[in-house]
Amino acid sequence: MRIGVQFTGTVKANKTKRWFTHSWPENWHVVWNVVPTSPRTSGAQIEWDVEVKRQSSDKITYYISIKNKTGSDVNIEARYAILN
Amino acid sequence: MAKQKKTESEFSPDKSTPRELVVVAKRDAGMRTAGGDVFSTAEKDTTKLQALMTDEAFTLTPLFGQSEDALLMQLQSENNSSEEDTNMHLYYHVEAPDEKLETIQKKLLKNDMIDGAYIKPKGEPPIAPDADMSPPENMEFFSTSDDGAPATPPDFRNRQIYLNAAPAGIDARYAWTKSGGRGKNVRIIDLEWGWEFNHVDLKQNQGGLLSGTNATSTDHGTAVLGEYSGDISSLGIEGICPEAWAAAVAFSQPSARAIRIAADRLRPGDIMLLEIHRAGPRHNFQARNDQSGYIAVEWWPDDYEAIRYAVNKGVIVVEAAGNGGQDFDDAIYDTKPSGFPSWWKNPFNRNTLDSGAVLVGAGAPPPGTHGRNHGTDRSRLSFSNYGAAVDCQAWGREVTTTGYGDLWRDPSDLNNKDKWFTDTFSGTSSASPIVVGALGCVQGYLRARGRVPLTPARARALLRSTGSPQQSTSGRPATQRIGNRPNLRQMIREVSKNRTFTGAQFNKTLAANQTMRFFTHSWPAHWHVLWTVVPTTTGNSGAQIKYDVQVQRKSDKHITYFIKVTNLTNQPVGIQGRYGVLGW
Repeated sequence: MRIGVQFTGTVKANKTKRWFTHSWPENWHVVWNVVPTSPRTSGAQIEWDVEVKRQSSDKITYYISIKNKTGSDVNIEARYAILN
Repeated sequence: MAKQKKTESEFSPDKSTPRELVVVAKRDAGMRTAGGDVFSTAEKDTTKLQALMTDEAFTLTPLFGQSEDALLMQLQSENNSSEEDTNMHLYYHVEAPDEKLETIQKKLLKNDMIDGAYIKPKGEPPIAPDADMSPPENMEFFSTSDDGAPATPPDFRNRQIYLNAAPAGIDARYAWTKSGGRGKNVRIIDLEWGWEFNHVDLKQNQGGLLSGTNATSTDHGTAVLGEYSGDISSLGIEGICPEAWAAAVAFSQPSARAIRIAADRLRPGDIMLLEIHRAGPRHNFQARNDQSGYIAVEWWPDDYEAIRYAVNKGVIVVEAAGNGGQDFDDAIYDTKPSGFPSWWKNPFNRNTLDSGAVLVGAGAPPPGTHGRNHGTDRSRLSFSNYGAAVDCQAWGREVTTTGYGDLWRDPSDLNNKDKWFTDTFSGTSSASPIVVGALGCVQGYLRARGRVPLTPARARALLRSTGSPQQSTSGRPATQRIGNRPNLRQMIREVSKNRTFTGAQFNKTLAANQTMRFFTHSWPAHWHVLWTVVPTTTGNSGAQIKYDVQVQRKSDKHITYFIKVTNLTNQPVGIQGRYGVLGW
């Protein structure tokens, strides 16, 4: 298994921001995880979902939409894990 | 309000900061300052405070450099918190002549709007108190130039024993064999007073002075920079992580403000170095030439607050433990000084208050280094502070680096500081940059592999769980804790480890069409955790549940997960929440 950080960024207050990352080998089993990097003392800060496109016969593009559930900007870190 | 005349207490480029009178407003006072006036957003009576400011001819300025409301807006935006969670807008710096600080402090403490007012002793660089950095009278130059032309510094790398394999050194040379292991893509800011930015061995990856005014006394900062940032070449010395970007912020301004400014220039996983200590309560906060009783700055509330701000941003703060020869576990440090705010507790007791910084003590180098002996290798040096809060140690004597000129100067231009080198940099001053260098190598190694960089808490834990152990020497047993000397071979091996495991976190039954939200806290922030929820009750047809996951960064150390589960059926459904830790 390989894991890593693919990107970091900021999601504005109460907004959803969508990132994409392309050219992942189609035979890699990739899962995504997003965490905030700025602490908050109470309550959830973000949620995310993942959409996928087969960009070619051997490549995949992932779209990660991150929703900021708070009234302030949130810094995030998007992590991947390649399971196979 | 009349503008103050320039006084001794004003900040100026020097090798120390003046005493500071810091004021902490009560949270419910709603205190604000503008144009020399004070008012209250909570409609408190400010008449007495305003009169005091006029009578004693002083002004209050927000300590952290912005107006209270601008600071609040920024803090709440960055930290995603409410006003109740933030404190920095409550701090003020008193602009007044040094000789009036005690009088003003006493009067401020009687005011209803004030939670604290305390005088911080001047900050000083923590070089060893008995350090003699002047060149020996019989100094022989390693190279000379027959025609008087500028000479090239010799190769001093074989004198940098601290780069060598453990236990003598930190095994930087091992880290250099790894991609990223010289600190690539890492940023480091040194906070102190002065630097020789044109030094011939500090040309690569330099960010220069980001804030404040450079001091006229530049040797200390130059020596610090050389330890982790000396250029990769056969000229002079070589830094531990020279591919890291190295910059500086000067303490020509209140120390807490400088720390905050530096934190704002760094990213999660970057490193800040605090090269400062102050006279503590042991000798009633009095400055002394022998530095006895000097302690780490996190003990003062505003510096603590600033360090905590940096740590909350994910910045690793490396802090000199100080050269006061003090036991941080002594009860004297639990006693709240007059004027400290009501919430204050002793940060050296991390069970009550924890700055999140890495505290560095000074240990002896291997006997015989440069022909001298300072006690058993890795034993506590007599001046080094010690105690449970001190995380790790590094060389507090015999550090070969840039600056001072006691090792080498250009024979054709003896006063050219850009070519000075030392063999004897010392103190928790010389120890802390070695730890910074080790962390810079690890962060570069992790970033080169796309891995999650060390958080401040994980960096501290790594330094405590690896390294060459402290040893005893005559009169200074290893029970006087200064921790281990870093060992990069062990550190890199440890951060390279990974583990995958799964488990069930919770079981519950959801009523028909019910939505429940579960939370689970204190998950290490660097763990890559995935959540799934499955029904444990058999369904007849169609989906039974759906779930989604939300995340909260509770601190630099921990994450809380919220899992919302909805029963899509008209029947009760048992569910199980499962986690998979994929690694870190």
